[in-house]
Amino acid sequence: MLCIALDYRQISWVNLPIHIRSNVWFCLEWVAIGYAGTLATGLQCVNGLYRIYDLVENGGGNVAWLDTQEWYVATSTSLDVISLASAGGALKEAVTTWRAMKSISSLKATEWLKSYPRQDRARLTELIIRAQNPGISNKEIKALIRAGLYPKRFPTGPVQVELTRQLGQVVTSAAALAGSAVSGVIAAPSNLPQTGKYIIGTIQSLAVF
Amino acid sequence: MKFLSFLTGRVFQDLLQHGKEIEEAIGQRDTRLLNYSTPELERYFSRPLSELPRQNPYPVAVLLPLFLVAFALNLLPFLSALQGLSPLHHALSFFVPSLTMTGALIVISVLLARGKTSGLLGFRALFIILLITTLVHVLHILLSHNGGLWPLVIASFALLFCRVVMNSSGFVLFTLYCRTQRLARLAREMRLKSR
Repeated sequence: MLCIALDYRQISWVNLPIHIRSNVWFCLEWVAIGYAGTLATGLQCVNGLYRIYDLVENGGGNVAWLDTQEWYVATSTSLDVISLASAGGALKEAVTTWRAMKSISSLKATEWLKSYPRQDRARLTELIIRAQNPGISNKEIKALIRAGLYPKRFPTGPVQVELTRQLGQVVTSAAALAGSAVSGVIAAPSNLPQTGKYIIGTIQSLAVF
Repeated sequence: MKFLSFLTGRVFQDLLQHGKEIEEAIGQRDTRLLNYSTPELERYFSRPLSELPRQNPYPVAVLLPLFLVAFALNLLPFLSALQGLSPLHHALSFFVPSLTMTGALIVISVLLARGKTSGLLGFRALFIILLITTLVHVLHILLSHNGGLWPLVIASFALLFCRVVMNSSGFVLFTLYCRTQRLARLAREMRLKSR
């Protein structure tokens, strides 16, 4: 992405063109979603532990009281939504990678981590060059490779590391979705409008106060 | 020192020691910092982030839930020992410290990812505090025969996993990469200034 290639220390923010600035904001938003997702998932983790402990040790007295509280339902629904948004971002990235790999690979997806033939590596290299130089022609790609600016075939090591990383992301995102399907927004979508009303009501009461 | 090595693991302790040496060199703000770097290394890390290899932060990410589990399962038996707390106070006494703990863990992880040794010190401090708390709780329950041991057994296993992860090659590689990146950036700035 464009914003990753920016060296923040050398370029003044005010001198940047507007489209680059919006790209940087887009990336900062993703970073913010990432942090919010971590915080939300952490809180969901301790919330789950609280509920299990209370059910086992106290017969669920505190949990029953909490479930009747609007603020608790609203908070857990909001945490679930944040967590799902974060998981959705990771899944989107994984799906984009899967599509790109599928378009160039002759192997099944399950074999990508085991071996990678020479022809597929050459196609992957071409795909990377095209991604880094939008609108480039086949002739220019060949010229760049001949000039030694790009290798003929990228080594498989970094590709497999990236695929493993994305596989991990898919697993954690699936865990977030499964958790939500058991006891979250996906299981009880009716909590969403209630939470929305509660949040709007809280904002209105704060405005009056 | 040997006792700390025994508690947190020799590899983690060596990593911390190396970090302290680098921090000392950075703190002096003179050309001695250049002894730890080379122009090739600085050129390598001065490339755009998109050209640098992406690192695997999972060992650090795994520590977050493990520490949270150990923390929550220490706090819950403590709170249940306090009599007369209303459900609201009970929930607040649990969720407010947990929120603080989650925030602290995120800050520590960010410091580690920026190559600062304070991140490692933070993890070590949390690990030792939680280990001591768990041991005290276990002793208290064994002596008083009051309450279940299962939360503390799970907390102990979580801490054991934390120790394994903190001494794993993935964690060490991630920490060293981030540290080297920071060192190379500072050394490059210093080299450019001295010209």
